[in-house]
Amino acid sequence: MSDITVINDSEQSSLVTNGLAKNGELYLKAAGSTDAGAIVVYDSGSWRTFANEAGLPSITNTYSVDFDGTNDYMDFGTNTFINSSSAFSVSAWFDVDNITTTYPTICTLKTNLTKGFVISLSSLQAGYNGVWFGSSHNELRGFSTGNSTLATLISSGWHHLVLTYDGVDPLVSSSFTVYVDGVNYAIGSSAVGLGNYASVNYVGKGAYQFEGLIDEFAFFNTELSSTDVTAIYNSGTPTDLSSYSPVGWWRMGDNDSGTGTTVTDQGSGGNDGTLTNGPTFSTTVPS
Amino acid sequence: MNNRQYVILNADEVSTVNFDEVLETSVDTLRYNVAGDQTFVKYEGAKPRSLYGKDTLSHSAMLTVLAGEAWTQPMEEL
Repeated sequence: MSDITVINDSEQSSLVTNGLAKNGELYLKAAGSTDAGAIVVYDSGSWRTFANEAGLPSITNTYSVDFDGTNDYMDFGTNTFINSSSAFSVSAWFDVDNITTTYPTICTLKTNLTKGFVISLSSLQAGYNGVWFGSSHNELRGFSTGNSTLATLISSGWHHLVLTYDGVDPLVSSSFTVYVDGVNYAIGSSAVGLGNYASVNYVGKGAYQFEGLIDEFAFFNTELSSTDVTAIYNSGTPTDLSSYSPVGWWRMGDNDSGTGTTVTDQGSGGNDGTLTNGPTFSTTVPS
Repeated sequence: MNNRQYVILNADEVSTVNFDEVLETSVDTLRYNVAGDQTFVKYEGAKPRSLYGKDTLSHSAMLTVLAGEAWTQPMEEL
């Protein structure tokens, strides 16, 4: 069996430009390049891409959504996403502009209880540092990683966040798990001050606004495993989530040509999002 | 977002805003201050006619205003 050459994006382009790409020859896309870990094959003038090393089909990711942090958000309706006695997971890529003077909110989700469920970031206050989330003292509770090292890590650049819940009251057992860039971060403290937002589903807004970029926001009605999270993180390059049957998967422009105010839901729920108060599509994406 | 300009309005001035000229989706999606007596709108390009005579703020200046306790409820101490 012959060796497979590892190539990055520019080398892939050069093969075509210089007439060196041969039909049927296999290449492995290098880490950090588009479709990292995928096998690409030159076939009669075009490239065909096959599953990456995590086994997930690669996707084309061209757009994210840019929030200005003042009053803009994506509204995806009023359906109830979270049932307190059922497992769920949330996955999102983010690049936050400002985590030092506010508590940027990734999302607010409607629950079957009286309070909305928020997922936010912070580097402002020790007890909230890193990722904090929940719905109230008496419902799904509120928790934080309380991790200043994590807060510093996420204060710049793209990062992948996954929050999972096993469907058991957090007071009964350890129910939530937080992953950032595929790493499981322990929950360090109980947080409060989550606000109400009882009947809405938003990306980029809760008690606080989000300033920066969010991409590939997804909701699952299952508790993703650490293996799942590692595969979805894919060393920093978003992958196809279809095999995890997301209830909601908003590609943040990739299904909508990066124009207009509708963000099509590629999940099973069909809860299309509406960009509200002026968020814009950006071509800056995680890779 | 550097090309955006922001204008703070009294709540009773909202009816004068032409929402075809600003980036806010509608009167129902405006953000108000904690007291509920002020809001703001934003625009790109030429200043909308309905905002003539109003002071404008840059994106960074608006974020500074919004970070104050007049616009944002303080987080509870842990």
